[in-house]
Amino acid sequence: MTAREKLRGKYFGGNRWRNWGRLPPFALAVIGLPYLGWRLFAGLMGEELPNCLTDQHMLPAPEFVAVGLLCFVGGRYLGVFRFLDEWRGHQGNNSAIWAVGLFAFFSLVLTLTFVFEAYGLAQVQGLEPITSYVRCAVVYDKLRNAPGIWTGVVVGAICFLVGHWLLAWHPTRSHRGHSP
Amino acid sequence: MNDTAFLTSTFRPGMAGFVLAIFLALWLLACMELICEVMDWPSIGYRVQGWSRDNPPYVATLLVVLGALLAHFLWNPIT
Repeated sequence: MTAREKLRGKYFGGNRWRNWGRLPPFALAVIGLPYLGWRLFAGLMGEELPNCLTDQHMLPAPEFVAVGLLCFVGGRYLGVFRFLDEWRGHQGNNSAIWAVGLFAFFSLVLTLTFVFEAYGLAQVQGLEPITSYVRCAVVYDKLRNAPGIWTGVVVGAICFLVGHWLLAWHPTRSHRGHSP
Repeated sequence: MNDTAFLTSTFRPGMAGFVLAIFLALWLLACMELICEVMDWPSIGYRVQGWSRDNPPYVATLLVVLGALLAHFLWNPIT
């Protein structure tokens, strides 16, 4: 047994799904995300905002693309801590229902987003395309929280999840003993 | 657009709504993952990983779309 396998067995779950090491970060996210989201929301709704369209030099911001790529790679290689081969056979249906529900919800949100985008492109009742709102929010974050801390955090979190969920590097039994 | 027109436009609620939607989505995910951990169920992430392992063409398409969106939002001038 390699040192990495020992580490994984001891600290990263072993044969159980539950992994106590993952509870603190999730608990922190459940408490911290609403607080942070509300603070940023209230700031945008309440503070004096300059016209973001006049700050032409704030975008493009390739540094956030770089952050996203780094987090994507990090998310991909975090998959190394669990062996998929050992998980097959004890799945059950419990969270599968949630996953299907999540996919249905995601599809609904995507549909509503496209409808909104259509209205935004047509500029019905002063609406703008979502891109304009996103880019303006990035400009304000760069102005208020230089160099754009919360944009970096959100881009990093999303890219981390994309890398971890869609392209996770899971070593199979044949890879045991080899570094990724 | 001048400053007065900007402040009376939909930019302010649009940006705030976008920020709220992002954080709400991340919070819902964190809640579901926490419940899965406590109940000793396979995580949502594991379920998605299973789907992505079984459907590489869809994954490739999704990655291209998400990469294009990232570049579209952040690697372009503001107007």
